[in-house]
Amino acid sequence: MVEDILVDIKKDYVLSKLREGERIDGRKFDEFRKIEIQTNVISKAEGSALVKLGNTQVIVGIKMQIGEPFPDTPDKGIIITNAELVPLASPTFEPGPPDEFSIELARVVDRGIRESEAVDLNKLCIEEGEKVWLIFIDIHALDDDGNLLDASSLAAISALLMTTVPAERFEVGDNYPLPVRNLPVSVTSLVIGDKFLVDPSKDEVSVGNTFLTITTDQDDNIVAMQKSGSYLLKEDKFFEILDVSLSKAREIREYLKNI
Amino acid sequence: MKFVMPGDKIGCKEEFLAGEGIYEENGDLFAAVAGKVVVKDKVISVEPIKIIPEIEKGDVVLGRIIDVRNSIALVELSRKKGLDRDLKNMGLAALHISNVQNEYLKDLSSAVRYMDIIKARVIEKEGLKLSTQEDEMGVIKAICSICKHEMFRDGDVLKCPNCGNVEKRKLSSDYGKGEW
Amino acid sequence: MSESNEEKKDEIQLIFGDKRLDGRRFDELRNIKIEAGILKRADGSCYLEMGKNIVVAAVYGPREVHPRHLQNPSKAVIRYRYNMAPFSVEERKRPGPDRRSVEISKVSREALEAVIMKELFPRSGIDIFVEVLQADAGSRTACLNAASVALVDAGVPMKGMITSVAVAKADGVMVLDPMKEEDNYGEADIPFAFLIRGGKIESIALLQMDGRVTKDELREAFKLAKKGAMEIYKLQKEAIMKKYISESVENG
Repeated sequence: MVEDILVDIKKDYVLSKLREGERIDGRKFDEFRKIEIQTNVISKAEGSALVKLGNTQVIVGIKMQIGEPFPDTPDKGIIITNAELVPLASPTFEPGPPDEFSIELARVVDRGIRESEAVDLNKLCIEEGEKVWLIFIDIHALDDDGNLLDASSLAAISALLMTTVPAERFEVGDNYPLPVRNLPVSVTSLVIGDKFLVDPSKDEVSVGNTFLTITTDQDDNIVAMQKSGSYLLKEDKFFEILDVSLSKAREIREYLKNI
Repeated sequence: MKFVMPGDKIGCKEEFLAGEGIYEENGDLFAAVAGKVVVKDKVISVEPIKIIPEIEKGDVVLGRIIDVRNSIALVELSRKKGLDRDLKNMGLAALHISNVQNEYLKDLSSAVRYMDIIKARVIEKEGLKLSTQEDEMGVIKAICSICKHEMFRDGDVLKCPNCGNVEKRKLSSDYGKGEW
Repeated sequence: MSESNEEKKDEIQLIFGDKRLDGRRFDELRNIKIEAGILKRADGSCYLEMGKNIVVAAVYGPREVHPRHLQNPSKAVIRYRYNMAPFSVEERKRPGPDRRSVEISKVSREALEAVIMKELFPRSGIDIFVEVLQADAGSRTACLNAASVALVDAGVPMKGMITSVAVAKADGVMVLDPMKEEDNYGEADIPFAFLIRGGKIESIALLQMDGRVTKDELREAFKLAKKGAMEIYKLQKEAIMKKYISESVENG
């Protein structure tokens, strides 16, 4: 594959820059690429957002339906998160059922939203034990220039913030805004030896898929973590990454509040 | 007896030379497998529970012919005699026309054919060169090149019970015995 | 966490003074039983019980990789399959991989890949299959512990041992090696796996987390997990030694 050869060449460049203490695009080690969020880009969806993280682009659409609650939570709505890494987004994505990368992506995004209790699921019960709202969070990658995960998390929470519960369409009362009460933010770092780079670009990822994602909520709680990729991480390095992730998440959360 | 686990530090570069089952990192020697530590002539190694087979000169191996050219047949090895375990990928072994049988052989395809399973002896580790000159070496299973049915031994030749086709091979004395 | 619903509920009291629902202290592991080399066909294998978890791990390889295009010219390809038997849980699980098992298989494989010396076996494959016969909480950690022993049993060279254990937050307290109730009704679940080398914990090979914890609680979780991992490591070592000795006796 052509791409494999290019990746090998790129890798040396990234590593040599890194030895000089620099990133190939001139960013600081803890600097995100430019974030742009456009909301309500899909009018057919209950809520939607297009997030650009540098050249990485992800669109998330929220659709809602009425369904049966889980037997052990009869009075709570349900969140279902899916990710499709469609072939249009990268020469390495193949059509077909979700592979382990898209499953992992969806599950890590889902955990951040679920565990931070971002959506007040108690307010999404229509008839206890019978009818509750199902929230489908569908992540659609458009352009993978690295760190789809953080772009997807941001797009998901942005889309949820814009979501209107379509009660009128289902004839169960008046429409109301989806009750969102927390803002989980994921920060993904590429771990390379004893260094780490937040929000890695595709070129930087040529050195390896060795990530740590830490999702925190607005009270600085850690709500989800995922070490992804085959590498070994020292405990002190982990806590360093945690501190950076917490402070980056705070910055991004400020930005989110203004959309 | 000193029993070690993978990752146990068992010395440093200055004391010993790293042998089998040992790896070095920053001057320290660690066990890579579990087992007994053995020191012989300054070489330290770990005798593991189970050995991952390596192919050495003199070994008897089992493999499948995947290509027959003018003077050479390429063989994918699958087992080493004496070890009930798959082989790691060793690359292809080679059976040269001059090593097939003791007598002169004019046409390689009259001795081995595509998909034959052969039993052979390794005569050179480098390049995995094989020989089938001994009586018990050679083809131990073959399919008919016309109808792909299994061939049965009929004296010195193989006969296809399905289409009646007769083919020649360098046969192993183990042909059709179900073991090797 | 169960796939159907990962919502937390607070209906059950999990902590009673300095004890847990099942009488354990906060830093106490469940009962663990490990036996190496229990399958005939596999190149390496392990049976492991961890509380009510019952898992069996098998290792095949290094061997040829099929199909061929999956081969890597510079190192062995590692495959790991975490699979739950349909009867392993209260409500029958549909056979085959679900999203949860796919994710667990991925992160578990990556943890082992980091320590297997795969560059020694170019173009070959090493397959690790782990079947969960009975699941309680922490089945992924039980599976990794079993896989690690099975790899050693198969003689696959590794930089060190992988040992795995989870920590949960239950009623606001960090507890080691949670069982089902603590996992279901607790506030957080943090599975760890460590590389143990030179007789001590050297680095983190697997780390996941869901729930809600503070940084200080995370520090406490690390402390508990490392203590638990060292205890599990001792049991893994015992099982392997036992196998080695019985094998040596057999072979004279």
